[in-house]
Amino acid sequence: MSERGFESLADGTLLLTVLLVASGAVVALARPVPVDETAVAARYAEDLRLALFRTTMDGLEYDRDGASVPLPDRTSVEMYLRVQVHLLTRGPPGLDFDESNARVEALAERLLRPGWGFAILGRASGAGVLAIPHAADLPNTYVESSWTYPALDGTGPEVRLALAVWLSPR
Amino acid sequence: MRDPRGVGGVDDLFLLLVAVLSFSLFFASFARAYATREAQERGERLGGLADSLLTAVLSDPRWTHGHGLLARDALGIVSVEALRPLAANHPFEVVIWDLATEERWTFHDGSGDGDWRTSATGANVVGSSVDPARVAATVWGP
Repeated sequence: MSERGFESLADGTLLLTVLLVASGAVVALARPVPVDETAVAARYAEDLRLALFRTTMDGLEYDRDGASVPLPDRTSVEMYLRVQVHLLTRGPPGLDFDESNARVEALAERLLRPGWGFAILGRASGAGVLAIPHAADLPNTYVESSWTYPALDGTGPEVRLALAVWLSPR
Repeated sequence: MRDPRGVGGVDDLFLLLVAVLSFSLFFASFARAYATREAQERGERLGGLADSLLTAVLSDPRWTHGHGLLARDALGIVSVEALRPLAANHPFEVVIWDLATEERWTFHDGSGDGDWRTSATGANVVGSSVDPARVAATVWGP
């Protein structure tokens, strides 16, 4: 190969290298900027918690030693959950909220967008008292919206009700 | 015996081929990067518009009692004309779905061609009771 041939080879190789690097840089710079999904999910959780807790329902009740105890019609979900946590932390044994909890769960499922999972959590003094659904298994990607309430009778620990949501493609 | 001009021509041809290949790769990646960035920006813009429209629907004092509390009696005054400025004159659709009564209020404007983004959340329709509702806003754009 002549001297000029080597120059051409060197020039070509250099040009190819430079443009390959430039192409890589352009492609890398054009990659989508990740959106802060946590902030979006947190806002969604807040909206959902408000919508769910403000909803009023008729026919909510609980069982106490096999006897049904009805709550007034148009009781809000929020008040129902507060009553439940209050009774579970202080009330006698033999309480059963399963039937009304199933209604609240069904309501939350309808309110939620497809592809999302949820859990309603109630805590008193930091200890978990209530979970809807029963076997709520929170992934580590969940976000939570919560509110703290004073005890219903003015004494005792505060109650914290929370709604946790997470993306759960099915 | 080799012709020096022929050898030089082959060398030039090699350089030309490398240059064509390199620039093709570069401009192809540049075009792809541009298209990707444009699509992302368009998506973000439409997503932002859908979010704004949803927030405006859920907060407008003409038909709400506060954020997310839609007044059942006032939903009748919601109209496409009232919502159009909130969608920045893009084609849009807003659906309010009362999950307790299964009533739906749908407001649709424009042809709805092209790319689109939807924003949806939970809310309440307030009448004699407070019903759960899902509200979705979709915005289309070029």
